[in-house]
Amino acid sequence: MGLTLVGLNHRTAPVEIRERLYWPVAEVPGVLQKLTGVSGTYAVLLSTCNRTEFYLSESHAQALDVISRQAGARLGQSLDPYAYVLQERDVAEHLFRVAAGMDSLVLGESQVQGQVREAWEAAQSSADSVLHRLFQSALRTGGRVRAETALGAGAASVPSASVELAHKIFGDLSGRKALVLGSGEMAELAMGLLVSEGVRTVMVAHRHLEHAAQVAEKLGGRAVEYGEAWPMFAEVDIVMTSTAAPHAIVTMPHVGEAVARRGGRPLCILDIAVPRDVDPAVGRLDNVFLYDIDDLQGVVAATIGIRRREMPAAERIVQQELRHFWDWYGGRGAVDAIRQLREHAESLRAAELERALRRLAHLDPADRERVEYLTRALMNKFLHAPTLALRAAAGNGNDRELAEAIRRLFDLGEGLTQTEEGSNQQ
Amino acid sequence: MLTELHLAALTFYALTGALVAVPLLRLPGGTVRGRPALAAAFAAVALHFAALLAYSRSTGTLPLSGMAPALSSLGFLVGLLAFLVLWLTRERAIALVAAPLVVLLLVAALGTGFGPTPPGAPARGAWFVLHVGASLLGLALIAVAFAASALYLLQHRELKARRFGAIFQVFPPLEQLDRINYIALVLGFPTLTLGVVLGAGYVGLEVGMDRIGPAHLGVGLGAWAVLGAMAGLRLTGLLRGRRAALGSIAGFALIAASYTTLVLLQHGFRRFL
Repeated sequence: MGLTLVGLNHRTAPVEIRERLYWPVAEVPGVLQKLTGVSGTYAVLLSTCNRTEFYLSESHAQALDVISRQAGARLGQSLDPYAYVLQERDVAEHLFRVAAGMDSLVLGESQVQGQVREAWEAAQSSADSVLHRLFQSALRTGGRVRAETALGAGAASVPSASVELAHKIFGDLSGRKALVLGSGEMAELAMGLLVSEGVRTVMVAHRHLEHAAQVAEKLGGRAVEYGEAWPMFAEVDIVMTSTAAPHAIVTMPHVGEAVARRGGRPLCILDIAVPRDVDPAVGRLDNVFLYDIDDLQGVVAATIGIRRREMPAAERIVQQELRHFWDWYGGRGAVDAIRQLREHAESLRAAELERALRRLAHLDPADRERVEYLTRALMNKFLHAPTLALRAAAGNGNDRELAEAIRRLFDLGEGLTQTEEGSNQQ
Repeated sequence: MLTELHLAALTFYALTGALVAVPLLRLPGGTVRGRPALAAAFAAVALHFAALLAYSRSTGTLPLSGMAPALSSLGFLVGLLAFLVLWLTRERAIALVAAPLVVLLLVAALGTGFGPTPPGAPARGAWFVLHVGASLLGLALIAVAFAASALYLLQHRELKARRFGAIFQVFPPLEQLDRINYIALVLGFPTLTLGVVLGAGYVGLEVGMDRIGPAHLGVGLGAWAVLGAMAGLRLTGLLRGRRAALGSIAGFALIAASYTTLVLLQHGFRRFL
């Protein structure tokens, strides 16, 4: 067998299966060493929270057994119900789509490109030239898709939508001030992203000051009482609210005066609480931009819509890169086949020449050389057309039949077909 | 050659606007990023510069005197400034307003025709060249402020209305547009002031007050006063954001309307420029 992929992903396996079959990158070389040592195959292991995939080159049935046993031991059950096996061109196409984020749970996400790179780097000693080339091509495909299409553009999660909205109002977020009202996983996540974008002076207000202090410590800010928070609406640029209050707590009487003192500076309020924390009347104030959880989800939906429209353009890039890779891969198979054909022809030529020269013992060295030249020239002429045909067929990915015909015509035995099989599973 | 170069520049300005507008049409692959718009804008500005150079070579004068050359020069300065904004900020949307504006100026210039200077026109010395050059640059900066303001108001409307479509995705952040408006106005005022001062020198030393109509003076000083007020309010921090955008658009509209009226009413050498 040539290129083979065995794996599972978010489409074929639930999270409780995926998490058990996840190998941290530090463990990957050990897993690969075991696999390649036992089966003699070459391999790369891509293991993320959404997929675990073994990429094999020149694999043997034994390799699949090893993977099945390793995965089975980790899962405590058979891998078969969740696994898929791909061969040859499908393997390359799949990996190119994975690297481009086209096979991700969140369409177009960019993290997977780094994970593909890590997987390849962790397999430097267990991968052969085919796998190296395959992963290099996949990374180039991912890079091109991200550079030439908008498949990775925009915000595809509620926290990143918060950042995008803030960006659309302020541009650069460095040095901006933020205020957090309440707490909650989503709010902390979103505020963490904003802080990573350069937002400074994060103040956290909470009913319980000690809880505010805990959140503030995580975000590198300081804790304040609710009463202290209202005048801050005159100074801060971003307010994020996520309290468990049953009614709106940010109302005109609380913040109207502070907002009026802003002097036309925009204020972005991200209300991710349900029920909402901010009175909609506050959002109608001049230069106040108020967004609730539905709006943030609207940003995500718009992004996904844009990304879906980019799929045909991304698909074209994948097919271009796939053609380039397949030309190289197929040509590589043809080189082996041509070599065997020439070796066979050369051995016949040498044997026949030796027999003939024994009968022509009267020839002087110059004439013997002429005879030898004649046989070599005839052999090259005879092999020229089949060589070109094999190269062309390999480029098109349909050289299996031709290799089989050549095997029969030249009586080459099984070797040629086996070598060629690698590039002809399609 | 002069007309062909202008037509080529006009085509590339229009192409720049079209390339930037593609994502707004929501076509598949329309959000493709890259440099085509920047390249088209560069080609437009380069061709436009070549056209002005060709004019100078063929007439032996700078393209500042006469309606068509002055309109073309104004268009070139607007195009050049918009290209600089596009290049420096990587925000292409400025071309959505600037490109049609330059196309309009070029159509007007080509429609007027690059004929010879009318007989009886006053002498065109250094005072005149500097006066018109500085004034045109000041007006071009007001046009850039106008372009940024128009985009600001559209993006502001989308953000307030919580619409996250193509305008939201493609247009630059509000604060960035406000910053462009601020810089354009704050640079535009001293430039136009210089133009007015040089104009006074030109009138006093070269042509005399009797050759300049009151309308000419009115529009020139009016534009200067409008820009001065805007720049002052911006510098003191009294005007920013949406109000600054509205003020810039109103100021630009006032200047453009006054100038157009003046051109339509006046004839002969008293025509502006």
